[in-house]
Amino acid sequence: MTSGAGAGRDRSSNTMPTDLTPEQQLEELVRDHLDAVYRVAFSVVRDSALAEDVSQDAILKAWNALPTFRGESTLRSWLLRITHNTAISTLRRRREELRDPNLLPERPSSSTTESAVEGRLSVDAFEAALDQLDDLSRSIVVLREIEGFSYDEIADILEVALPTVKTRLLRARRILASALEEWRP
Amino acid sequence: MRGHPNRQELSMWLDGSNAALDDHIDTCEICATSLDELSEPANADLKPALLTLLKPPDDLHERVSARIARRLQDRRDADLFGSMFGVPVEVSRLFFDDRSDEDTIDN
Repeated sequence: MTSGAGAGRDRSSNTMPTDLTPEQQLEELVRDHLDAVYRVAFSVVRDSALAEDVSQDAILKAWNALPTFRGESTLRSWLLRITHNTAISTLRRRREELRDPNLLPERPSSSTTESAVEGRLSVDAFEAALDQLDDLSRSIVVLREIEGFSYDEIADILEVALPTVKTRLLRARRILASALEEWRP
Repeated sequence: MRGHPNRQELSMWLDGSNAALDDHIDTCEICATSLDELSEPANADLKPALLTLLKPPDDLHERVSARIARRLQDRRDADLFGSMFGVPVEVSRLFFDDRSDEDTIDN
């Protein structure tokens, strides 16, 4: 794939420019949105390989469906809704295949994580707190704290009621903030 | 459930227990407000920690781009195979690509 088309375009742009070829549109989806797509996918499936599969599926689904995208939400929120739905259905399918709860997607190893946060005492408590949250709460946290979406946008992306977003976020923040105290050296 | 959970029950829910209240709290504006009042504002900046734990692999873009390109090539091969042997596209693609990415997308 080549790069260059649409560099620097605002992620809140409502539509994909029509002057791009389909291949350029695909490149733009990958370049501008893949990291956010991966984080949402990972927040649900909690397995890096599976999150990568979900990311690939979600981007291709969105690319195929671009002609039907009506621009009623931002491109990124539309794409992240597709990602979340894809992650949920992938996880459900995986659980049905495995049936054995002991074979559910593995958590990232603490040694890998610790090497990524050199200088910190431990990330175990924070990671455990993140795992303690349900899939929906983790997605809400990612969309709010990292992606910066409003409560209304999150409710729209995840197709849940507004109180769900507010209350789950409140609880998640409380739990994660408490764990963060233990993380800091 | 009858009525709304009391402060103690809401407090327990905030701490991660009392999951039985999820369904009620998920849709109740009154409880959302009560929880907001009850909860100490969590001022901690969670973003750096979350970014660290949810950091995409360094070569994610290259890998996903390569996988997508391979998959699209498989699809073109499938379409060619289908046209050569008069096999419907939906059928020929099954032989080349076992992952569907053409689900109905809700706008």
